[in-house]
Amino acid sequence: MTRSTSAGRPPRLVLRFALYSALALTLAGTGILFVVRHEAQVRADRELTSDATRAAATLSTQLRKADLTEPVTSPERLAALDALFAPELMNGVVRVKLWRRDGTVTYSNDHSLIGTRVDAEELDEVLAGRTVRETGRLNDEGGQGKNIKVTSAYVPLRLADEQRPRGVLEFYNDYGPIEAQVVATVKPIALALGLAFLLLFGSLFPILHQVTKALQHRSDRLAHQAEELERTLNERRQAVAGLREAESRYRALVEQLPLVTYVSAIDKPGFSAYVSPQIDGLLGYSPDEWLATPNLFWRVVHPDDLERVRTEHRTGYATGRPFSTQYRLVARDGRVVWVEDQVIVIADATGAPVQAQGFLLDITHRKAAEVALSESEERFRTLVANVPGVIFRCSIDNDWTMEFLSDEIDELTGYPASDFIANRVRTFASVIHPEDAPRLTQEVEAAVAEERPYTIEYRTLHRDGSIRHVVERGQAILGRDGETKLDGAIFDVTERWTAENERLKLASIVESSDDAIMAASVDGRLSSWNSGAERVFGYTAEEIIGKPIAVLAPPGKEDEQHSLFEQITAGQATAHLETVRRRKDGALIDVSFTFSPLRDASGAVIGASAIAHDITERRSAEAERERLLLELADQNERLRELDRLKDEFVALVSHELRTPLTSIRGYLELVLEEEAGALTDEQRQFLGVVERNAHRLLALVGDLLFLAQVEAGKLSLELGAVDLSAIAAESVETARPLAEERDITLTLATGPLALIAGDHARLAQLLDNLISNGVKFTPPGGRVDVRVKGQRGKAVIEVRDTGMGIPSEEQHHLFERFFRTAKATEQAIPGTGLGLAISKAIVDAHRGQITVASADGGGTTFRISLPIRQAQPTEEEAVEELAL
Amino acid sequence: MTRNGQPLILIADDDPDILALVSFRLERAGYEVVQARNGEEAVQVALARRPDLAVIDVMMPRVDGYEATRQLRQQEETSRMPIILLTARVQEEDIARGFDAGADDYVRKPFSPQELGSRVQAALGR
Repeated sequence: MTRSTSAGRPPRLVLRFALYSALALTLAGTGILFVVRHEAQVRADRELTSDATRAAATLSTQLRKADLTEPVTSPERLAALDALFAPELMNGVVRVKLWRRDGTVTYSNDHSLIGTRVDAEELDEVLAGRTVRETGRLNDEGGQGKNIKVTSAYVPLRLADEQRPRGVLEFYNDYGPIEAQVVATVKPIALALGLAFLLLFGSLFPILHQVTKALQHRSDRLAHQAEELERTLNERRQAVAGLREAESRYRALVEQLPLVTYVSAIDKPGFSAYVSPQIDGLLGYSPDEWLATPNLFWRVVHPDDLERVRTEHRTGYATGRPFSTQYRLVARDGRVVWVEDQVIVIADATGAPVQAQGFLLDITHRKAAEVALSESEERFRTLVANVPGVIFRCSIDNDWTMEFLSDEIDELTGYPASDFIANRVRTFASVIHPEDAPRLTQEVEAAVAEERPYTIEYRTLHRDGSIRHVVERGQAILGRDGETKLDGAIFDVTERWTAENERLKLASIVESSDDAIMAASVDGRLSSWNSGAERVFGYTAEEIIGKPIAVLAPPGKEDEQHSLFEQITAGQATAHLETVRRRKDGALIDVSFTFSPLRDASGAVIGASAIAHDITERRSAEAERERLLLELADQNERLRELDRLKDEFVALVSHELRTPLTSIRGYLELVLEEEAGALTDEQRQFLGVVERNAHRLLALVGDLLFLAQVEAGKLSLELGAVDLSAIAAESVETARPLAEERDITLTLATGPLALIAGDHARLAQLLDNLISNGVKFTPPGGRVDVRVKGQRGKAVIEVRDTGMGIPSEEQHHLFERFFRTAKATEQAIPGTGLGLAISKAIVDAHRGQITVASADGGGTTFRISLPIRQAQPTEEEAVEELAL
Repeated sequence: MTRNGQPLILIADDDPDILALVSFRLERAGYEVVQARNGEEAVQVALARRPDLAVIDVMMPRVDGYEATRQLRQQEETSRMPIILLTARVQEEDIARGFDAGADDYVRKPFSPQELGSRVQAALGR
């Protein structure tokens, strides 16, 4: 706040305000008065002029010429004119004059003025035709009465039918009433203004007085403050002086400290505000150089640390908290100096960082010591890391809390050592096999109690789920903090353990082998002998171990044994050598020997292993097999011969049976046709029997040939689209005469059925066989019912009779060649036992199935189902497919 | 064709009964018949007599029916003569062999003499 210069002047302000107000009000009053007066006068003038003009126009006819040529003197005329003008005079306010052109008054309502003459210039103007107004004094024209202010209007006066004005009519009236009117109008306004002024001033004065007082008060306070300020300023000056003194003292101190102190603006890091002179000793650059070279700091920071230091400074400034960092600087002479930089960030009142203060401590020696220490630690670590086992120090507690654990633990458990230290992620107890944990605890506690080292084997769990076998050796020691700790090493012996297991497994396999398995050293002495060897050779292990292997060779075979051994020592194996050896009891046995060299880990031959398999039994089995093979070949040869003979027989039957049958039938035909003369009824009957039997014989030959074809795999079908229903109808009609003869009801029922691919002749033969069988084996009065239908993609034929039935034990022989049921034979029902075999062959060739259902004495049903093959295969395919 | 206008038919079969039976049947049917006892003879007779048709048994000694047919087909004179084979063989391959040799038809044994008659008629009437 500035100091007020108007202090102590408030009364003047009030006066000035009052003066200005009064002035303004007076001016306003005057203005109003002027305006009102002017307005009133103008109005009065206008009224007067218009009255005069109107009067002039009215009078023009009533005035006489004489009234304007000579002053009116005759009393009559005066009275007449008085009467004429009386209405215009408005009770004396208006006065009238008539002027002659030369300025002589010819008439006035004030008779005394008649005859007076005035040189009035205005008259000429009026006479020229204009109306003139003027204000003057009554006595201006020589009156003797009260000299009052009047206003006049002059108008030209024309008599009737005259063009030129003959004289002038003057109306004039007293200005007094107008003035009175004005005064009356203005007086209340002036009063109001005065009153307003008084009120305004009266109300404003206390306020102004109050303000004045307040201003005065403030002014006083400011003056007081100014004094205070002055005093403080003086104190500050003294303090600054003291401070400077202190600063120079402290600076001297700071500049004596064995470290570099600096101040930097936050936006210009690198000692931009101050750096203590020790920097010269540290880096070889003087403080002035630092302040003059803004980027010097970043130039001396070691290039390897530059990026890190920049980042650290940036984040440190951003957080505003003090921070400390270590980095390298390169001195002017090239020395590398390690410094510790402790930085304090100074913020302004708003919290924005403005300055960084700090000091650099030379830690080059400390660093060197640290490096030396870490190198030594590293050496120790390397040593531990190279130990082929886990080195540890732990507490003796439930978790085996680890204080130290070498990295080898990662190999053993799949978890890093850091996981176990102080049980950070997991406890060491968690990787011990649960079954072994109690034993481990027990053993360790016992060893600690007896103050002896311990060795224990247990299992650990690997991250991948596998189990490792380890040996742990350890001993309790007294730790630095007085607590008893456990120091020790854990070795992974899984491989050794596995190898031992493997060895035991192999040994048991060797032991359980039927073969003789033995080992001999390079000098040929037996060193190992299994129970198989005991069995094969008759010697026990005790008897033979240590003896030369040559004892097994029979006399005359020793050389073979020697040469075998020479091969072995040369590293060559011998497999399946079949030779002869001698048992303990002297018996010779056939053996198959396999010799392999035994090598040590370096590959050198240290002996031989031998496996001897007793092949005496195999030898005799082989001989037997060879004999059987020969026998079989012989039998095959004979079978082939038989086959050939059968073919020949079939050809023979074909020709030699058919040819005579042809003659028999031919000549019978001739005789029956009575070519050789008329026949008696008896002759005809007998010849009928001959013909029927010839026909049976022919049928038998046909059946045999057919079966021979089937056997030879030469049955072929002539495939075509076949209507099974039609075939069944033909077969039924063929069998009908026989059925009627035997008093058997024969029926046929057919359902809707598609054409099937089949051999018409063979299928007809099939149905003939089944239907004639049914008729043959059904006693008189019975029935044979034939049904043909389609069912689930198959064509089904059923032939059901009410005949004698087939016992179940005979049913499975039914389709064999030449099989006849016991009853058929008993009852001498004619037949060869070939019909059903042929039927089955036909069904098989069509890839169908034939089944029989029967109960002894309860009738028989044959059921055939054939696949419905819509597509007709080509002939070749059909032959190939159906060949049996 | 014979002098009296009857067709001449050669019958060849080694079985005299069948030979007589067939001859009798054909003669009664109005044909003239010459006989042969084997294949060799059948070829000689056919070349000598120029029959209108030959019925030849397949299974004959010396020269069988197939061979006789083949020889007759090679001769100019008998190359177009209809030949019916008589066969007791029923295998398809036997029938095929007959056609390969040049036969026009075949009749299986045992046959009805009446059936043979109608086959002969058919072969001549072609």
